[in-house]
Amino acid sequence: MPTPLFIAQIGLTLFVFVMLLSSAAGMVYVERKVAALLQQRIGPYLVGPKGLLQPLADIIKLMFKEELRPSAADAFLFALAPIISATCAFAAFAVVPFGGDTTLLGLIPGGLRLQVADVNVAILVVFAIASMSVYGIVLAGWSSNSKYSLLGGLRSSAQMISYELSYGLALAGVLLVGNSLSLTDIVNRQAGTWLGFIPHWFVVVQPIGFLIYMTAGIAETNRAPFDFPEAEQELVAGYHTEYSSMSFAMFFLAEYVNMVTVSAVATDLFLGGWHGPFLSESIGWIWFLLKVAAILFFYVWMRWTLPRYRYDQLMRFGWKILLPLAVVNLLVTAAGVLYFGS
Amino acid sequence: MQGWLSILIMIALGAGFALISVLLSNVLGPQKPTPEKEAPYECGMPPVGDARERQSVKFYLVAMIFLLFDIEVAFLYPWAMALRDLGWTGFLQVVLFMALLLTGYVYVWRKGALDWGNEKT
Amino acid sequence: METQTVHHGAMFDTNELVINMGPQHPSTHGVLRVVLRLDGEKVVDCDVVIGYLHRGIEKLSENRNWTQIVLLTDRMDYVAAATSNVGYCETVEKLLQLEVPRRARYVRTILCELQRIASHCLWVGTHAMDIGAMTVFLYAFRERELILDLFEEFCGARLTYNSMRIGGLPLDVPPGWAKKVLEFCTIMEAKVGEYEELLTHNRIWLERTKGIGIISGPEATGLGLCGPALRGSGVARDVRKDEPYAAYDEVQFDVVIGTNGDTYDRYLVRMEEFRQSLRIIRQATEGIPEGPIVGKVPRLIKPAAGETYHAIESPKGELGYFIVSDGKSTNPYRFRVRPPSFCNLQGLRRLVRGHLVADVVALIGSIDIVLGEVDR
Repeated sequence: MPTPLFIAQIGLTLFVFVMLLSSAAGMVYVERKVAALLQQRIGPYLVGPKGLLQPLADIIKLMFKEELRPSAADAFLFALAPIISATCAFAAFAVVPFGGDTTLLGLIPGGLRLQVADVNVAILVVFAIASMSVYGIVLAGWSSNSKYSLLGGLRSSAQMISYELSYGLALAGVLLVGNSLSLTDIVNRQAGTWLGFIPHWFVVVQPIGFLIYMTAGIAETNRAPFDFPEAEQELVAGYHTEYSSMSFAMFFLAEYVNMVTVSAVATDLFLGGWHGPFLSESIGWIWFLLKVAAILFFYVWMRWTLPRYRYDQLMRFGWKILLPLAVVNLLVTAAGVLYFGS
Repeated sequence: MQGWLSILIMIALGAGFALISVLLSNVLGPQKPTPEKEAPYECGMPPVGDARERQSVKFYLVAMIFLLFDIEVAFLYPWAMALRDLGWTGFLQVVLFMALLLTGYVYVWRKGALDWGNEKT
Repeated sequence: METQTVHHGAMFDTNELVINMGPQHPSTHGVLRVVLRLDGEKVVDCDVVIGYLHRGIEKLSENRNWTQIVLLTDRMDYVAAATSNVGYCETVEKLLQLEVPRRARYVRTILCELQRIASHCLWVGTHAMDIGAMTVFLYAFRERELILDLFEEFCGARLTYNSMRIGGLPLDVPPGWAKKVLEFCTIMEAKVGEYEELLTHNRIWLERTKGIGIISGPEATGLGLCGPALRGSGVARDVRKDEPYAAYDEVQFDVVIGTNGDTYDRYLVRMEEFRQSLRIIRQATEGIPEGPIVGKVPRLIKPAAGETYHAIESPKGELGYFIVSDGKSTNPYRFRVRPPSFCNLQGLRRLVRGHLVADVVALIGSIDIVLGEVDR
């Protein structure tokens, strides 16, 4: 006998899935509009009011394009790679809470938590799935049997595993402060303020951790200035050079969904999630959306302002600066936690 | 358990969506392959050689070092959770653990495994 | 291209990877083909293959009369077409020993410098885009548009101008044009600062350009590099100063040189050249003399038998024309161009060796080539 809560949970899963899809489409639009704003252009404006339907038009166009596959490519892996990428991107968001308990206007007794899956090791799941997504890219690069794709795939695997360390260590710092592996618990520990005006956000106690997390997050999602795997000026399109039509769109979708996930996790871990002044917890998701939007805007802003690092410089930065910094940050945090208590 | 079920549903939704869209474009899109279209992209020239030869990618070194450090990170998670119980003793133990790793880190650094070289030939 | 095995010890031998960069590649600035031999991502060697845009302009010119050739020169360096026009006309004038009125010479100076700014705008945009800074591209094209507007007003065309005649100018400058040029100078001055703000002290930009493709002055001279690519290595060679043409001997400007000869220095040289060009334009526009715009040109241009070489400083370097007339026909007997892009491209192989794939695009950008001119 499915309880109302269970039905609501399934509904929420579907809802989140659709929202993620549309957020990816929305991000394509926002990316183009913000780029246009920064470059003093207009950006898309023809399809729909203010060009809002542009992403939809793009998807329909891609849908009607020919699916090309190089004759020498490994057929199975070539087809599998974009699906892995997209699946990982969606799965990672499943454990991210994005709002407090809500009763959905009294429909659900007991209240529903705005989160697809409330598992007690959410951070580990995010970390694990983020590591999985490299498979899609590596397989795409290798299976295409094209040199540009291969170089792109190799670059991205080296880059992603290098930055994963710092990413993981930055997460561990938050674990220490939050003393929980559950994202919901960590968010709830960030409610309230110090001295009445400093929000109880972990970014205040973990500023370096936040910076490391953001840097590693950009590298993990292959965004500028760390967008080497697809550095179009060098490798044409990197690992997805040979992809066309919807398979290509899947990589694109995965990239934007990953961006949303990284921003959402950053909000939960460092920026207090749905906690903020003025709004009660039941509509705290507005705060959450605002914070995620701010981080996403920052991403786009970075991309259209900065030049790209070179591959070896990125690796050097990751291994020689970010990693030691993350370790020191972790040890200092641990000492701090022990000294001041929790 | 319900949490994990939801994750599974999410994975199924993601995979299903990806699969259906790719299949759909296979159905809707034209299928007129030509040898030129099926050749790998190499800037409009016939490709020289194969992409799957043995190459130096400096990658296996990174991968090995990564494995070592990733295990370190994996160890640190339970430690981070239990730190409040372990107290300063636990902290010192991890500092010692880090010191050992640091030695290895310094070694690979000095060996040049972390340099991706821009030196002139 | 032959590949070799790279030895790392018995089990770990790897092969070099040969990869085509171009002709259809986003950052080879046209249809340049560079065949790279890579060890991992490091460039062991490269072959530069050109000729995809060859239209036989030199041979074609032997069947065109002297006036018609002006139009062909437009098609060489199409981002600075007026410069090629001026260079060609001056060469023929030298062959004819023709006196060009001062007013025409001043206008030519202004046009040449406007073209230098337009060309450098395109260069800074594409160079920055090659290194990943996309926004500079659109900013630079915004200002280039203003220059194209000025040209449109002067001669009606926006890209291939055909804006010169042997002996002077086809038309006098339109009324009010000089004022607009000065207004443009004021705008441009500020915009150059804007580009520099985005790039010059940007850490990533510095890391991507400093120490990349270092070439010493003597070596650059030996390879025949010219223009900013040579001046970046500290060689103060500028045709405008060394062998003044048009009205360059009547205006004040400095020859900008670099010190290290790396990509960053070549970048700095060009950025400063923006300012020097503006300085020249201001002086020339303010001091533009009254008078005729065409000299005493014979109705039928038919130079006496002989040959001449004349070079001007195009935005990319020393653009030279070597023309032979047999004195009998109304066509040149031999028409030969020394295109700066072609000579600079020779240096590419030397520059990229030992660098990484990502640096190749930065280096192609830093020598600033236009394939229309390389292939002719």
